[in-house]
Order: sequence, then structure tokens, then C-alpha cells
Amino acid sequence: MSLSRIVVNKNEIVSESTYDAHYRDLTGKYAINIVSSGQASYTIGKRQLTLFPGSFIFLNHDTSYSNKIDSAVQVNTFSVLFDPDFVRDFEYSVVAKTSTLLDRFASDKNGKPLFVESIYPLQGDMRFTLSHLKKHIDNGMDDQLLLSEYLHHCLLNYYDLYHSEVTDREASLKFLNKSTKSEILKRLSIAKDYIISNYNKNIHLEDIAQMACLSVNHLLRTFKQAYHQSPHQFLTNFRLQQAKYYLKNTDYPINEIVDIVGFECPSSFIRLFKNSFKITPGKYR
Amino acid sequence: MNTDLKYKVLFVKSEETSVKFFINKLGFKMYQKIEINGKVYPLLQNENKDLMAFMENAGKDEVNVLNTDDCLRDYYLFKQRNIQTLGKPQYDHKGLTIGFNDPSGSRFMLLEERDYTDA
Repeated sequence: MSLSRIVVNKNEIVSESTYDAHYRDLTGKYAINIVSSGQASYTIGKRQLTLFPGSFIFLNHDTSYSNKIDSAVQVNTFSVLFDPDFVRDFEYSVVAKTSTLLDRFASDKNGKPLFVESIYPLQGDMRFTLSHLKKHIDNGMDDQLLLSEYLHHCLLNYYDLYHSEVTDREASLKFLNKSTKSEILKRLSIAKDYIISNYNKNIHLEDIAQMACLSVNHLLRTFKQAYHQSPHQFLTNFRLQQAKYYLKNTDYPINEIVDIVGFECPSSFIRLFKNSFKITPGKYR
Repeated sequence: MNTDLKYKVLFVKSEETSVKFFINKLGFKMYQKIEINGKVYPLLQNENKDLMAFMENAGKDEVNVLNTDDCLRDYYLFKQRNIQTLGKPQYDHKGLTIGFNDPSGSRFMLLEERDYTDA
């Protein structure tokens, strides 16, 4: 077990390896959390989310949440906790100059932005910036200026990703009213997060719709508009991505991976994997 | 600095100025001098043991690409070494880059190549 925590300009960076941890009533900072192995559970109000490798969870500074790890395998977590003033200064200095994003974000009464809290894919430059930052923290780097540079780029990358994952998806919803679009995307994010958190279980469309407070028909129609695939296709693709992770990072037999990621039989898994990635799971490994 | 290339030729405006710049500002070390057709060329080495040869090519204004595994770390390092012409990190489809010139005006781009396809 290990824990590294460093404070950079009132921001915090935390890297932890553990089998068992429980943090309650976390609040006060914007949080980006990832797990590089194992899984971690988050409770945000009534929402129960599970974070797996390949995704990150973003939480606003005014959200209170708890985080629990109870695992037979070692879980590596990495969190970047941004001070609200740092984010507000970033917005004024960078985002306001280069785009009109500021106008489109909701904000709290002090003018601090409020983002859609969700599980996002850890991809693009965000993946590289967090990976480099984690490596530096794990190696004991404590140079404030260098770490600040990474934090600045971490926000740059997050805003970029947020644009494609939220702003663009919101725009692709076929509603006239802007606030309706925002509300529907929030509910779809809840649906998406439920699918991700329970991807290895036998989940039903009715459960997803109920979580998102949408009818099944409404969910199917709007999900496709926002994510350009059905909830079932999204689930299958997420399972395949997780299978990729297990193939690359573990020596579990393929049959066991099929079971872990929630597919019913190896033959359909191999067919789907080959169709998606143009390579068999064995060759990919 | 890390690079897949173990040996690279850089075309510069002034060999002497570039070599001094690479040693004093970028942290390279003199590895050896090699003689080709009666002319002596310096061969420098970085921390990753990669080798750089320098050739004068005053007629062309080309950008020499250097590779790294962590562009932000090197950007910070170069900023500390007070490289006046250092640009800000820029994202493009290949990855993250920074541009700078040596005192003779030879142009360099440091590139951290990123594979965005494999999540």
C-alpha cells in the first residue's frame, strides 16, 4: 500500500495503491479521478458509480461524495483536485480568450463553472497528460512550477474533451430549447454512467431508463442522437474496451475475460471483437 | 528526452553555434568527432544515448524534428534554461510539440508523438 499526496497552489494531486479504503464527505474541489487497475466505487447523492480503467470521473467543487475501495486485487487510483479559484482563473485567462465556451457553461453564484458530472472516456491528450503527471508523482517529483504546468494542461485537455463529450452531444439532440437539450443530456449521462458502472452485469433497458427518469422510447431515441449508437451497442463497445484492457494488462485466460466483462459466450465475444478491432483477441494479446 | 531514433542528422545554419546551443542549453554531451571526406563532424549524445550529427545547410530553412517522450517536462526544462525563442506547447494530430530556434536561426521542433487510436 502506498499514498502520495502533493499540494500545488491549493490544488491537490493524490496517487494511491490500496486494497481497502473509504473516504467520506469529499467536497470543496473539482475532482478528476482515475483508476489504472482494479475498480473504485463512488456514491454521489443517490447515484452509485463504479470507475474502471480507461475512464475518469469528473465531480464539481460543490458536490459531496464518498469513495470506496474493497478489492482482492491492488487498486491504483489517481486524483487531481482543482481549487475552484484555480479553475476560475484558468477560465478567465485561457478559455475566455479563445472561445465562447464561458457563455455556455452553467455556473454557481460565485461565477465558478458547473460541469456535467459524469464518467468520461480517458482518451486523447487527457490520457497522456494524466499518465505523465502520475509518473512524476509516483517518482516523488515535487517541483511546483512543473506540476502547475501539467495541471494547466490537464484543464486544457479536459475542456477540449468536455466540448466533444458534452457540448457537441448536446447540440446533436433534436430539441429547439437549449435548456431542454441540457436537461436531456444530463439524464443521458446518468444512463450512460449506469451502463458503465454495471457493464459486467445483466442490466435491462427498463432499469437504465428508470435511472435516467426517461421512458424507454425517449431514452432509445435521444441516446442514439447524442451518442450515435443504441444503449445496447454502447454497452457492447464498453465491454469490448474493457476486454482489451484485460487482454493487455493481465494474463487471465480469454474464457475468464469473457465472463468478467459480461459476455455470455466466447464465440460471440471473439466475433464481436474481430468485427470491431479487425484482429482476434488472441492476436491482440 | 527519449527518442525512437538512435541516430539523427540535423541540418543547421551554423554547425558551431548549434553544437554549443545543444550542449549548453539542451543538455547534450559531446560523444565523438567523426571524419567524413576530410571534414570533421561533431556527434552529440543526449541522456537517452541517442546520437545527433550536425551538418551545415545554409541554403535551406528546414525544421529539424527532435523526439521526446514527455514534451511538457522538456518544455519546462528549456524554459528554465532560458531559451529565448521557445514557443508554447501546441497540440496537433501527431501529438504535442514545441518549437524553438538556436542562435544562428536554425529551426527545431520537439515532438512528443502520441498514438490516439489505442485507448
